[in-house]
Amino acid sequence: MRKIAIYGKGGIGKSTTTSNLAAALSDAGYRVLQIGCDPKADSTKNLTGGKQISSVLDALREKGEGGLKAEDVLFQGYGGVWCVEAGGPTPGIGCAGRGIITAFEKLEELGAYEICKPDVILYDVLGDVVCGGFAMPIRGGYAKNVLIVTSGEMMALYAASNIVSAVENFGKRGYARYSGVILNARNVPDEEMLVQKTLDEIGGDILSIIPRDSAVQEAENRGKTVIEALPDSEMALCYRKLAARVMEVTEEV
Amino acid sequence: MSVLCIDLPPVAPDYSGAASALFDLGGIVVMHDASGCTGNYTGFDEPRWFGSRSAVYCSGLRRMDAILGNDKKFIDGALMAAKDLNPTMISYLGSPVPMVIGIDLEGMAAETEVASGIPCFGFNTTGQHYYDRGASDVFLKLLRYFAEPIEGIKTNRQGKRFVNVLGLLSIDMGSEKNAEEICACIEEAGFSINASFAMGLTLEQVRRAANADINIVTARCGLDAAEYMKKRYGIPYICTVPVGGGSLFRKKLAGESPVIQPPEGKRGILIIHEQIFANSLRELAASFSDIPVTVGSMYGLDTRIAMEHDLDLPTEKSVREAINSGRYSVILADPEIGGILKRENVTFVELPHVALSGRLYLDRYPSYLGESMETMIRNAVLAAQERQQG
Repeated sequence: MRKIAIYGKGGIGKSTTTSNLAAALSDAGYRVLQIGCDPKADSTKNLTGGKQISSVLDALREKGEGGLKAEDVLFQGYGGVWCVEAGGPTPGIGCAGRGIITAFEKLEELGAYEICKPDVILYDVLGDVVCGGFAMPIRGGYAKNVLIVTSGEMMALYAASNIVSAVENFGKRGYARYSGVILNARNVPDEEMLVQKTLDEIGGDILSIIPRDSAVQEAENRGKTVIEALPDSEMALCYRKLAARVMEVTEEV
Repeated sequence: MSVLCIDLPPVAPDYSGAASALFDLGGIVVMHDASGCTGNYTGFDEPRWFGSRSAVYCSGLRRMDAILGNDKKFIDGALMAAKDLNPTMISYLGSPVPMVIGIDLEGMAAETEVASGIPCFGFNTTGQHYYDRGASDVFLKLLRYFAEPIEGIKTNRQGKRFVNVLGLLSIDMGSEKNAEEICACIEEAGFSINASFAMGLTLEQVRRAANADINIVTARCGLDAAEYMKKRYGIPYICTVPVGGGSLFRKKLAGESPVIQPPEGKRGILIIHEQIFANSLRELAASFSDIPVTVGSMYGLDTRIAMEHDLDLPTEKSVREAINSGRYSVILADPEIGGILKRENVTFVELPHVALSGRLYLDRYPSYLGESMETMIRNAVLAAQERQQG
């Protein structure tokens, strides 16, 4: 099994990239579980026909700790990809980070991993590692590899740099390993060169370049991934290449 | 409001059980809390604390430490203490604040182990579970980390039969005397003690745990460890603790059939205590009478070792309702429970339990083995029979 956490600045395209990656991996014959770790709970939307699934915390809120069942939080989307959303507290109150931890604990208690039997788990994590909860996907026993989605924009690269520092700070704890970046291009001038310059400082390679393309928007408008909506497009090919590359750089656990 | 403790004290939580399980191992135990949890353990839940040399520390977690994530400060503190104490291991125990903010105790332990070279563990105790769960988690983690493969140690037995005793916790048994007498009883039955979890436990004993021919689970905190060793090493187990003269226990060790439990009926005996101890007292009563005996547990009823009519008593309200229900003519329970018994014509027999009343009644703590326990049960049965006839 491979366990991969996808981090990156908010709004950089993590969920779009992760969903397309999940769909491409599924097309390639892998059993995939995608876990959205953002209180917005919209990571897997394009795998489930644009419908938002019930999050673990929503289900907990509704059914209570004792009444929760695996089928309340586990859903299958395109190509049989298993979809889970951790969810979060009521906006403005509660503790989103602790919510992620609780969602992970509940998934284990419910035997979610035994039910899905995934070959690949993708953790799609909110923006920066702002507190312990958002480091949960890279703690011992969870993701083994961390991939960062970035563009050539300064703030995205700054966030990438922070995430790499956080991951490396946890090196002695046996947490996940930083394994490179996915360049989700925004058509910034000299974009690849700018990203490469940052990588010269923080380490790692550009695993794949995802060009900016209207196919992504077109597919999203239909509530789908590019892989599902436009399987023969150039962009679909890009995501399939990304999937192959991800399988090369990540490790079996 | 129904879960409030109005008259009864709160019961020993998981971090106390974990600390008690680690007490004899020669390690450093860091309770990650502001000080109340450590104080609760050392001042109330651990009968052996005063006068002991066990290295149980409070981390002194403060507001800014929680906000800023000052894990390094605590790791450095543990490392400094380790330089002076040369411990066998270092353990971080959680409490409510680390639970709420999601401190990664296992990550802290991993970092401490890299820096010190000493085996380190993080236990995710939260204060929200009972003591037996904390002790159980410790036993399992120690076995997974230290126990050596069976092939390497099952040699040179010289005809001896080895026993692991799982569930010698001071929070249940009150004193080391009870644990020593239980071990002596096992040895008199022709077995050698291979490991005693947890009073008297050493890392060497944990390492050779797979050497046992049988595991004896003397309290519920040892049950998961017994199941783990059955699955991992094929070691069978029995759940019982010697009480009174110990003859029933010896019969069980010899593989004889257990006593058949009489059916449930009104005006019987209710025993509220640690489940396996209470079960063993029930069997003792059943060996010479047909008085129905019900076991009640305030620490969650483990259905693996419960009879159908046994009682889960999770709140003071449920305890109050059970003891004042009129169903039981004799009640054996901690003296604190006697304080909320309002019904007349019920005989109350004091059976202190550290898990509930801490050190309050240590001077009246029951000896598991011996004449006094046998007499206590015989008198309880007599009282129940009198009420039944009356």
